[in-house]
Amino acid sequence: MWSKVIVDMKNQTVKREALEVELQDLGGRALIAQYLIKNVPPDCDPLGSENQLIFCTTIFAGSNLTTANRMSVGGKSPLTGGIKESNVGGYAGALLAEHGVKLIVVKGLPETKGLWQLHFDREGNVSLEDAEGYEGLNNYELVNRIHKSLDNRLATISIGAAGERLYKCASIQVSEFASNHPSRAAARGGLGALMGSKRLKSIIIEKPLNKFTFNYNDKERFNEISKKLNRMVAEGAKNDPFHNIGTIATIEATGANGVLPVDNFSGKLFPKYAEVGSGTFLTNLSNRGGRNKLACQPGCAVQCSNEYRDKSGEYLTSGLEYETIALFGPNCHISDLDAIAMMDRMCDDLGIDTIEAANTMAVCMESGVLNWGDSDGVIKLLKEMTDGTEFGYLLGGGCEAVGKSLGCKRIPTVKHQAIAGYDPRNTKGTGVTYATSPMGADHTAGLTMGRAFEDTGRTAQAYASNKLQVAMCFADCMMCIFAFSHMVPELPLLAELMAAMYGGSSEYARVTGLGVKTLLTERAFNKAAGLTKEDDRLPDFFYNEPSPATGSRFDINDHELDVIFDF
Amino acid sequence: MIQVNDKKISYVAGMTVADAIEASGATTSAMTIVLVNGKFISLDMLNKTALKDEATIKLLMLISGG
Repeated sequence: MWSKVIVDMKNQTVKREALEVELQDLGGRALIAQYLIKNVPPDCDPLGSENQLIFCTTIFAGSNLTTANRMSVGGKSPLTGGIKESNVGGYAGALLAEHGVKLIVVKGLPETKGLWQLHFDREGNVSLEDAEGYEGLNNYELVNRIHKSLDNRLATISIGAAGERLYKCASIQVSEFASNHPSRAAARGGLGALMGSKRLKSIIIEKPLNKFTFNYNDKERFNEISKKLNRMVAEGAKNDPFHNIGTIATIEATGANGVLPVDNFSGKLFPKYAEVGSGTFLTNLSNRGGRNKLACQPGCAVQCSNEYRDKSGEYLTSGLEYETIALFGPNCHISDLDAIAMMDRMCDDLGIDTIEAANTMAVCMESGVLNWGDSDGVIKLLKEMTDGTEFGYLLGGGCEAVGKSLGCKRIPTVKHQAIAGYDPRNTKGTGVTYATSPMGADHTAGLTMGRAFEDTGRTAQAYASNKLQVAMCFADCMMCIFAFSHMVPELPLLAELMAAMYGGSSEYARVTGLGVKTLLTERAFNKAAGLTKEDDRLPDFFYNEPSPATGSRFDINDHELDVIFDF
Repeated sequence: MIQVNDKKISYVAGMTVADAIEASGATTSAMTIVLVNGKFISLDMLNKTALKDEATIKLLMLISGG
């Protein structure tokens, strides 16, 4: 059976016990929703003693299904005020599974001043240790010091100074499998601030000497199915631009269609988008010794990660991704990929969400604090966040807090969370997802681009959003969605996998039901937390200002948004 | 010549987007998005949309941008 580890920060205790039977066959987003609805008062202070920080593996963690070792982080969001699940690649999920741990719960607040780390050692022990010596460190230096202090293969989960300072845009960073760089982010919703409120600086997971063995219901059948699915993903990846280039390839799809956000979601086109696209990226990798086709977790067949180097050939950042490039790039009128890569590095190091931070910078430009395209200015403001100046603290509050403070009229947020890299006027189903997802404006919750009949039309947008939100929801319980996309022709096999691992039904309804139940649970949590229909709307300017690129406005009416989850 | 992601295939008069994708050896699923010369083509239109020579087809498993 899978275990859970309960960390009580008030009493400074760590307890390991069997995970409840009803939670054994859950994972990821579903496990977080079911745990939180039963154990965290939805109306609690997100940074107070009643909130809990949850880390968990997926349903298929520890198995040979490709990308099954993704990890989810959850809690009541300091940014949205609602439920939050943020999932991340890297090595931590795989090593937690090797320890036999599916769930870590961090409760309470310490009563004394200090800073701590949770340590899973190679013998399988888990303990809370003093980490005051790491106070104020950012992620790269922190992880470097941790590796110097321990002579074993390990994974880290950590916060930088942003989390310690309770910035609402603070992320939780996870180390990559091969490089150990703390460059994978559970970025959204300010969960780094929740970790900071617990005064938990890091979780260190050493590779255990004795690997946990899960008792499969039918291991032969599981291996048969997973082998088939893994083959599908590997075959599909051969022709997948995410593998052959990286997620930056998305710019080829968004740049010409008005979907790529430009100048704080103005709806214009950005003629120079190719300068921050695949061609520049691959040329720079090739000329500087950078690499793509890297796996962030062991056993990944998609391998979409990369290592980006600066002009002198020195490592700069990894996992340079579409969202970061689109939002620090064209959405700030910046076309310098090296400058964007530097911004990405600064965000990972400080431990902040690049989507929230980049939208914040665009709002600063809209408000006249910076000029459009001023990449040096953006780097200076990120430095202010790193240094913790008064304005840096304001920036740490996120896009909406900064926009309101500066009197900006066009603030691109839903449920107080900044919008990801797709203009919702020109992919309206994605706009429906942004508006209605219990997570706030989230690019992983159900991106519909290219899937409705016409992205700027009204037909079937809510339908496409609904279908994809359910699919993404159950995918986030199982694996990386980039691998999931290659399994779509055989999705019923996921139910058979669940039955082969845990027993029970092998009907596909078990999988789709997981998605539906999770969404409804999250909605119930948000309702009890005080969120209303008015929180399921896009900002007014998307309804009122036509996109100059297409003439389209967001015109999905309130009723359609209100009934989207009437299953 | 037609470009399908990083593969080049010969153009045949009357060829549809679906024909070109098949000739390239690629496949599509419900999660694939298809762009022809930068414009989206919905999956139900792949075998009804004729190509011109020198067209570029991009297939993306676009589920989110990372």
